[in-house]
Amino acid sequence: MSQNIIKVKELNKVYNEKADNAFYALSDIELSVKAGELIILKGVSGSGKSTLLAIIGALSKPTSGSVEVDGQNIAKLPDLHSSMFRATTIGFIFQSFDLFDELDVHDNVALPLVHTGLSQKEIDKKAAIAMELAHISHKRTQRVKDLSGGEKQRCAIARALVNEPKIILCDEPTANLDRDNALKFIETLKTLKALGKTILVATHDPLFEQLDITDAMVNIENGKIVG
Amino acid sequence: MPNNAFVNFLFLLIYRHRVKHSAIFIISTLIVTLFSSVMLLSNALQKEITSTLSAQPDLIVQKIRSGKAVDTPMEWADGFGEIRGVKSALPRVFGRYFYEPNGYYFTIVGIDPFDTQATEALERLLKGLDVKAFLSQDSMIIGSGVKTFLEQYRYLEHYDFRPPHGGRERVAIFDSFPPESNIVSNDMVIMEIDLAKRILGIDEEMSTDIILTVPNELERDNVMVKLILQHYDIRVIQRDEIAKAYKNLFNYKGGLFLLLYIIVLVTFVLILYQRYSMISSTDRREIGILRAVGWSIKDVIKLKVMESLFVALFAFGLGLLIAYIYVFFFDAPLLGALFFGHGNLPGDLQLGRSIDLGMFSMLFLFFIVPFIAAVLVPVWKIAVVDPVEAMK
Repeated sequence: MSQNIIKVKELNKVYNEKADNAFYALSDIELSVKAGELIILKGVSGSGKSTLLAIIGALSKPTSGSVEVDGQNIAKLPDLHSSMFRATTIGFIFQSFDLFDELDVHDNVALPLVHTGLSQKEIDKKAAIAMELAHISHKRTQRVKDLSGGEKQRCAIARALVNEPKIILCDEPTANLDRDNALKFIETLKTLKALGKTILVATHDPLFEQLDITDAMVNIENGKIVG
Repeated sequence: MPNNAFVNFLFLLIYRHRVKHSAIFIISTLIVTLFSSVMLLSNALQKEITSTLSAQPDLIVQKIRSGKAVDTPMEWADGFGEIRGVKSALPRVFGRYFYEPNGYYFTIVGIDPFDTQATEALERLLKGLDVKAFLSQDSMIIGSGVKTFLEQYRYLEHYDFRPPHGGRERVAIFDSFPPESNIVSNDMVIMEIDLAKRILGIDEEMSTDIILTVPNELERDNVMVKLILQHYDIRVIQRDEIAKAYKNLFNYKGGLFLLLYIIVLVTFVLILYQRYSMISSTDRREIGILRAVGWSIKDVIKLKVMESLFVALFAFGLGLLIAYIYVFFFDAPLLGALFFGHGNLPGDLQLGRSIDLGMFSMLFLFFIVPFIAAVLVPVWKIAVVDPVEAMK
């Protein structure tokens, strides 16, 4: 029986907490994810699923509650530790890919490793493996601004994999893709799951509703888990 | 210490962002060039002046009438020479001569053939000069500024001076001073003392002033008192006073430029600060991405500061190099004239190469520190924001 790799308890995220216009982005969230599971966080835009992903990935801090990921409570980690946590445990795939347009594919993929102290040779080796996994090796010297949407996403996937993370967080990964590329992405998800990665996908794309590899579907509405 | 991969990435980023950096780089280089030139010029001029003044007499005595310097009797020199502590007392003859064709003044200096100090100085300036031959005929040695003006009107062999008592004095051009000595000789015309007196209208028994050599510094005040006791109507000028006057002049000019520098630097820092405060959405996104993929605030600031530091250092180095070439290879056209001015004749200025490291360390600090601070604060403000916010 797998251990819970993600444990979220009584999580709240409030914007403008002390003002009259306080906004509850997340309320009393309880969530557990076992290692190797693929979880779909479903909900309309503004429901709070991206905020939840950002908190699990230590990109944002919760207002209250605890978030334990891979044995660490990341809710109140100082910057240096939360950066280290992101660098070693998490791989992100964002809706708009969020790549450096002026750099080539290889340099974008290597980005998470540049500050780690690894040698250039080691970085190049790891980047080559990640690009191979994401099927983007053939474009390694091409600048990102010259890539198609699907290629950009494969570059983003390679970057998410380069630090060999246990958890992959995908925020609306198919929102900027056509159907063919979206299906290819789902194929990639299958590969990642087969590699034992824990995957959380925040989406409102119906394509993810009948996935046979999904372990659980979590519906979020107005910042609350409804089923 | 940043590792190889970090440095590689840093240079890659600088190269990719070269268009973004180019405006700041050009402005920075111009500022450093301008102020380095001023500093090099000021330093070189002060050195020239100091070395020139070191050859000046210890005391100069001028006769005063109604507060105005008039010709000094040569016989006074004998009395001054007898004062204890005075090694030598020699009359000097010099004066300004108006050169009508261009409307400029030449400085005529008369040399006594028996004044070994003056003849030796001449021999030092003009290697291989036969001083005796020069002083035994009606001839002159001219500065390069004078030479240029005389040549304009085809005075290649001689020039006819007009003495105040009428008539003409034809004086042959014996030689000219090299441009390297322009700072002292540009407008000078050197000739035998009696010839100079005739042209300047100075009576035979008179001189322009009397110079005294007093080797013991502690004796100078006593000598000055004794001089005044001999003649109440005199003014005694010490070498230090001339040096101070020159230094004050250049410090005042240097101060003006320093003030200008501070104004320009403050403006530049404000522009930089504004430039980074209004950091573009691309810059914000880049910082957000770096934070999202695991870079800490410290890593991001290190990258951005090093990126700016590289631009600043490169601009500083290039600015310094351009200034050095401008001042010492091209003799600082425009700025040199503005800074140095000219007594009588405009002339080329050839400066001895010298760099005051202390001054450049100061310039380095006053340039690099505000530069980095202007970049650091806005970058830090963005780096501390949640990465998701920065990426929006």
